Amino acid sequence: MYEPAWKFPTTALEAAEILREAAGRATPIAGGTDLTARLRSGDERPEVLVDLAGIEEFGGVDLTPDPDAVGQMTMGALNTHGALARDDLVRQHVPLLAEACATVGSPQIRSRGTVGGNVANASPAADAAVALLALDAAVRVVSADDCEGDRAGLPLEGFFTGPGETVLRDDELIADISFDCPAESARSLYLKAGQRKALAIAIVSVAALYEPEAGLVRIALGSVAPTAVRARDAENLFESEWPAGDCEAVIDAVAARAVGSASCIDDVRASGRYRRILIETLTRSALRRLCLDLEEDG
Amino acid sequence: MTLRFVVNGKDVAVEVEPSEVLLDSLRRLGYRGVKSGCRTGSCGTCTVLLDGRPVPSCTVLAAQADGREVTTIEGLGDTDNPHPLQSGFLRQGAAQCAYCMQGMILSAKALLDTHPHPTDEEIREGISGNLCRCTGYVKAIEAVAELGGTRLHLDSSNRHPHRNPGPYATVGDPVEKTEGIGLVSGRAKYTDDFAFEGLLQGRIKRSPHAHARIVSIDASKARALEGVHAVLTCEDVPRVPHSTAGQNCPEPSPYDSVMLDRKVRFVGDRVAAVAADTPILAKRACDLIEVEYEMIEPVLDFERAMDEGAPVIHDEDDATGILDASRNMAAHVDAEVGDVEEGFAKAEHVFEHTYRVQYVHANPSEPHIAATFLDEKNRLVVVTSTQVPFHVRRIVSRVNEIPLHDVRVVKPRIGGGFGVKQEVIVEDICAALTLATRRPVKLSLDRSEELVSSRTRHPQILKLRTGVAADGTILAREMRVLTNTGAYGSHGLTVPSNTGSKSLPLYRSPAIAFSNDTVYTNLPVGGACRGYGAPQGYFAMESHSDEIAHALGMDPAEFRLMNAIREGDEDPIAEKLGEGKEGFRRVIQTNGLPECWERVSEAADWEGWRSKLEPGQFGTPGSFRHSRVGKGITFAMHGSGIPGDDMGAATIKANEDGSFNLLVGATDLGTGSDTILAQIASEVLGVTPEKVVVYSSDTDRTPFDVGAYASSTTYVSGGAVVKAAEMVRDRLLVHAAALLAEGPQGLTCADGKVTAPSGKSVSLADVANAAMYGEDKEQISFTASNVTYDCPPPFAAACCTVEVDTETGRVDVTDFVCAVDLGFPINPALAEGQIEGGVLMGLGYALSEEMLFDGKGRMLNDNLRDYRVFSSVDAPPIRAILVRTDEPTGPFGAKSVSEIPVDVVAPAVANAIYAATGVRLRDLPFTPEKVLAGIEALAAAGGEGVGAGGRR
Ligand SMILES: Cc1cc2nc3c(=O)[nH]c(=O)nc-3n(C[C@H](O)[C@H](O)[C@H](O)COP(=O)(O)OP(=O)(O)OC[C@H]3O[C@@H](n4cnc5c(N)ncnc54)[C@H](O)[C@@H]3O)c2cc1C
Ligand code: FES
Ligand code: FES
Repeated sequence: MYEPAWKFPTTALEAAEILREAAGRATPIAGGTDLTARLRSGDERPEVLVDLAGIEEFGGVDLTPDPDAVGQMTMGALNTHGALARDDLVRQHVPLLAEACATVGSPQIRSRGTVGGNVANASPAADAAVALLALDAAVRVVSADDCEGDRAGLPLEGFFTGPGETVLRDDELIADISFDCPAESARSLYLKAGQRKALAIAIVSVAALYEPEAGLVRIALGSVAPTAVRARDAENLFESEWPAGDCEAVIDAVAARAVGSASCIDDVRASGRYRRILIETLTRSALRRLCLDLEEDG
Repeated sequence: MTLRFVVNGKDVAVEVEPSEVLLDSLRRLGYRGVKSGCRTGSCGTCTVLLDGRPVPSCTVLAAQADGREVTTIEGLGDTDNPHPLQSGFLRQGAAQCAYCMQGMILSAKALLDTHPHPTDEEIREGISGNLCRCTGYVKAIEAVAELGGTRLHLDSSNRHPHRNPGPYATVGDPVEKTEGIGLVSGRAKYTDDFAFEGLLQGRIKRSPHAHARIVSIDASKARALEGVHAVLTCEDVPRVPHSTAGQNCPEPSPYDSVMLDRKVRFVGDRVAAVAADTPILAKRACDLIEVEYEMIEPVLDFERAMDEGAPVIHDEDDATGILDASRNMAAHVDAEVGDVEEGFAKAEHVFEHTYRVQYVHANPSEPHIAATFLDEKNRLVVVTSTQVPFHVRRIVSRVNEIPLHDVRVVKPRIGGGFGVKQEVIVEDICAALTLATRRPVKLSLDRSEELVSSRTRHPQILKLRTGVAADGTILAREMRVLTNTGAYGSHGLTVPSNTGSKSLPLYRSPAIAFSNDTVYTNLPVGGACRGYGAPQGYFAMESHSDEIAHALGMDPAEFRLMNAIREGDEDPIAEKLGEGKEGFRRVIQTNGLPECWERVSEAADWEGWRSKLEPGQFGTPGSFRHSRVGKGITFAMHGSGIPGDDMGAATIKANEDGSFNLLVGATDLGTGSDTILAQIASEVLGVTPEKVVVYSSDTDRTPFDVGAYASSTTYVSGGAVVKAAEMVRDRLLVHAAALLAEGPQGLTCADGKVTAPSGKSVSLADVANAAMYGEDKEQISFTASNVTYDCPPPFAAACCTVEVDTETGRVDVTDFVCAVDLGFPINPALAEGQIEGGVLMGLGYALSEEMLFDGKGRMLNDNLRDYRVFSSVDAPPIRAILVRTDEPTGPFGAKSVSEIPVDVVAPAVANAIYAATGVRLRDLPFTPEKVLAGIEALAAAGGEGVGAGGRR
């Protein structure tokens, strides 16, 4: 009989101390949408479950104003996908993230699953994580030794080390996730090809952001590699070619280049070959819509 | 640990296990409206509101709910005081089996709390986490929209948008289901909702190998585990070869199954069974059973199954009825009328195409579950989610070697069946565990077991060859089928028979030939699945029809209409190709196909759309740059019961207040047949349907019925109800005559009274009371049975509109219109529900559902995340049209409706994709990847269609 002990800390420090004490025998739980599956299958059987739900400082969405820019947005790890999809600040400044969160699972899953869990769980298909990657987000990590957080600004790029794996240590917690809001003029989009429209894990997802003044794009891809990835080569190509010449041709080339950042595999949802086609077509569609305002692109 | 929380406004404290999920705690507390469907967060049946938001209670640990507020369906309203959503769902006919509905209504509630006036899109989104297998979501959306005030009903005095089309008082009315609010308030009892004292949990240990001999089993460790009360292996149970198919007796399928065998034939096959105190213990015990296997090479490719030297799957010597076990041939069917070779020789054109259909699963919301116990007389009682209680009784008794009279089978509410519960796959072994322990045992399949180890729709390869004259008249047709029945041959003869017999008669042809080989493989087992072979046949035949029409340059509708079977025609092959044997002659007495097509064509604007196409053009522009729109059509006919085989019986007894008890063996699996049978009885007896109290499917108490399959209930069992009701009525009239001193000739029974030609009348209550307490006392009660040889076909026409993304291959069905000639619609709302649900199931078959296996025969997508049934946001608007004919052989002119909608879908989608892109796909399902490959291949070949032009 599996009988984990439950802890219900109310502060980050308390939670972090529990984790340190347990030395690898405790696991934090937020919404539990991923963890319950592993508890059920027996793949994971921590002795202690640390319920994060009572930690108020892991909640909320804030925008810190910046005179020169839109400001920095910080969202507590416990925000659910549903809350972020509905949040006015998020919808206004980073529609990309709201859209990504709105595609997660179903209304039921969105009212439980958290953004912190989505990132910590490190699935290559994690929708919120892919969107955050395109936003150059950083993860604030806390631990008992370091509650202020030396590891305050771990860039999300580099945070994921493999499917289900991150740089996070056993005794560390994600407190919040933050990023500089894109310029007012920026436009962004999240496209997800799933096997159906609800309850669908992405076959390929593309998070794209276009900053017209800077003349650059940021592109993150989901479900195309062991982790969510940035399509850096494609972004660089865009930066060097845009807006010279034939815009459509630049976009085609950038979309084709994005495929290079992927290492697609065949699985039960799609073949690697099809995934590569999707990366190109979804990236192209996204960029045509963002950069050329061609809304008729599906 | 103690969990303190608020449930439906009440403070509750309860002891829970620290690893227990909220679903289990709530059910233990008695909130049985919280249903378990997948336990992985993917189906929504377990939805509750946690602090007002919908959550999957199977994916929330009980401990996480501490201090919070939970609302279950019971908290919304109950029979006495229903929530408007509950009454709305019921009124609209939104609930079929209702297993999914408790959760869906809560999702709808949460939606309305935040969006009081949701758009249709918002409603679809709001309930998208609640997968429903019975319906097309249409009526649920209506119900929510109505409550949100976003649906305008022009005639508000009309309680329901449907109108009674007939001259009758109650048949033809969309009366609400007899179960009432109980169905949508968590009150309706499904098998898992019964409590038994001392209940043990059963579990089956399953094979990890596709093909292996069991060299030895050591169950000692499992038996030694405390809390384990029985471990059964092949040593411990009788070995009785049988067919698990609940069909006629003797079953036409091979007797190739035993309860537990020394050989395993697919991954997921039975190895042993356990009864223990808890599910966790039962699982541990299964894990502790040590089995030594001797591996045998598996047969996974069904085209190779009959090869010389292929491993023999059924090498046991006691199986019977297998056609040729040494060549893995389970069955063969052959039928020919006319001379096909002569027909082909005369034909101007001969077309030949090969089609392939995949493994899919009926996937009812409630997986298989049975509970067994010994009653106070030591008789075995089986409470089970089945479509065939009487077949269960026979097979359980035979397989366990106990007398039939010592077995009682009771069917409570069922969470959907669709054919997969026409099979005895949990009851036999659950019973064996009860017999071994003398205690109640519950055995339920989890979602993975349901998908892998229950029954599937048979995969087939179908070759069609058709010879036509220059004007398009069909002169000869041949259908050659190879059927994969998997590891066991249940339904392996009759399903493929129906592939031919249901589809081939649709078009006139002087010569028709059909043949089928059914082979064994080491893969999951084929069985009955809504449509029963016909959806396979129709996919091939109606794709083929389109291919021929296009090749001849004809309008696909015109080609079909000129060849279609007409009223008065004799079904050309009914006599030759029966239910796995010779059949019976059948003449078509009613045929609403022309009207079906007319109405579909108009509703889908078929002509208008076609007129937009230049000759040779594929597709019209869609809603975005690289999309194309196309429309495809299909015709179909089906059957109403199995001629000569199906028998239904009904008993009606009169009560002294003028009400009646209707006892039927027929099995309502969510379709609403209890309601329909009550309507039929009440019409004959001249009372309102509430006066007819239905009790169904209890082998001790109701008369026999073969069960719910072959679209038979309304037609066959309904016929029995008419007969019994007439007998009861005639008897009542005799008593009425005495009271009125008139008649009984000329007396009529209507509006709850008996009226004489003179105008004098007496209430039915007085008549019934007089019969029971008056001079000539008697219990008026009659039983009638019904068998028919006509089994008239319903007809259908459909038009599907797709929008194909030519860059990703994604196919969006944007509209689906389906008209069915179902004879007279006894209950139009329920009939529409059957069409909408059948179409949605067909769309999954066409586009997204497929059981996938690895090279060792293991199913790769044995969960609801990757086995993709349509959600509410995937479902198109489905428009059901009821076309009425008056079938002289059916009760009040009724035929059937429940299976035919599945037949029309896949070919309509295939034809629509072709119309949109020029890509002809001949193997299901049309995943985006396959569609895109088709588009690329077409472009590479430089063919016409959008393959070349559409991609920039
Ligand atoms: C049916 C279903 C459908 C789904 N569909 C999608 C989908 O479409 N897209 C998608 O992206 N995801 C999907 N998911 C996955 C899941 O909902 C998300 O990944 C969710 O965001 C995880 O958050 P959680 O709070 O539930 O995590 P939990 O299950 O509580 O935790 C997941 C992991 O993260 C760790 N963790 C959680 N919070 C923290 C923290 N603050 N600090 C450190 N570690 C932490 C836990 O220890 C655990 O290892 C689906 C899940 C289900 C069950
Ligand atoms: S049982 Fe919880 S979602 Fe299926
Ligand atoms: S009514 Fe939805 S699954 Fe049966």
